[in-house]
Amino acid sequence: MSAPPAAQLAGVALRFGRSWVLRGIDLELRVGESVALFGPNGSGKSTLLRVLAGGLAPAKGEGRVFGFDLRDKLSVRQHVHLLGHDAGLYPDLTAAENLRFSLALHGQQGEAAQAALLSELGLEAHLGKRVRQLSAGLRKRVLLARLALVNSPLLLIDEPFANLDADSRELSLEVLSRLQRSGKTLLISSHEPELAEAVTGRSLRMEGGRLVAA
Amino acid sequence: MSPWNTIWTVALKDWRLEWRSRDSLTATVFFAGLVLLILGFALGPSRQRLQQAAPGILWTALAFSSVLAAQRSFGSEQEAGALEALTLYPVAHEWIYLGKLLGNYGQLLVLGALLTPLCDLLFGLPAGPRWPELLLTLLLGLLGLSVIGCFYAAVTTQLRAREALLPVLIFPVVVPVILASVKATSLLTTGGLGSEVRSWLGLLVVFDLIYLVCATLIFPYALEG
Repeated sequence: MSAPPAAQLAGVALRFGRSWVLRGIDLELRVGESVALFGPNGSGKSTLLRVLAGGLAPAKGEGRVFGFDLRDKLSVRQHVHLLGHDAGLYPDLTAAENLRFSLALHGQQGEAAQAALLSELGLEAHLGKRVRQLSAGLRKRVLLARLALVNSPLLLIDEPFANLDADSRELSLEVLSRLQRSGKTLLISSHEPELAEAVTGRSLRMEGGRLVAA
Repeated sequence: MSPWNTIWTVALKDWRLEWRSRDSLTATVFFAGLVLLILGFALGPSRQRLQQAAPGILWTALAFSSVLAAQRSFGSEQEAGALEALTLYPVAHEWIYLGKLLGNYGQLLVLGALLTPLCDLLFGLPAGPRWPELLLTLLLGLLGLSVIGCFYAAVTTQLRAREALLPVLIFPVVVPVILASVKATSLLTTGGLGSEVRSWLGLLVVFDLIYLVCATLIFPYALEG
């Protein structure tokens, strides 16, 4: 029997109040695939990522993540990591403490093996600083480190290139490429097609809560 | 990850954040001190009257301050944009609630440890040899306030009028906790009967257990809306 796809949605719809933000989404992500998701603001990209992450329950339709029904939220969350807009770093914890907290709740230890990645991201010298003392670019690097360190096989990444300078964009691309090569499944929502397409093999476009041809 | 590790990790994070910023503790201690002073002035200079009212004054200050502490407990997550991330970790939300509860309870215990001697100093709370029972009253009463406070803080954290709603939701539910705590404290400081004290403490134990179980089970639904 073949392994289930990383994610599969059939006719998924969701509304906030009276307005439908997702309208009949059909989607399949194969294991190890990297997909870019484009679309204007308000088209439903972030909402779709939150549905796949087990954060929002669809009003209609069905979905599975690695074979687990979206309603089985704990199982879904064990396979997915969402790097969202509000990425949730605690400003009064240090970068290292933020990483340890996230990894601990993923059932992982802070190990020495992480040192190479942190060094590559230029974070070594900043690990002991409180997040509120870090620049926006460095905070993004902390988030990238968290993304790369958690052992979830499906990574949902919302606007990874927003508010980054050229160096940090380069670094983001490098980390995402490495995650792709390591066999993780990536779904990257972005406003910057040329960047996202550099690390993905397929593109999807959303408009008005629907997936349309890219 | 084991439930206890999750609970401990979340609580430790909250304590560390609180220690660094001292947001909640400073506000609650200051506010509680003000409540003590205002009620003290309102009741006049009679030492006897103040001593009679001391248990009520103490628990009024603790109850009001617990609302502030509960608000901060989830408000800090919201401000850091961390609430969604917290709900998406691969751990049962019940354990997250118990972690937040432990974090909040720890802060209330510190508040209780500061306020009780202050109240004794200002108004007189002579527990004498019955201080272990007074300590037990504080532990049980503050647990009740924390269980309810944390639960409703989570329910209201994404609402626009949360600051106004939270006390409106909390106070009617914690009436039994405040009543039992004031009665037990009062009996302990005026030499009341042990059996009466035990019955009020029993009420606190039952309340805490029922609400702890209910709030833990309902929390995942409350958090996800």
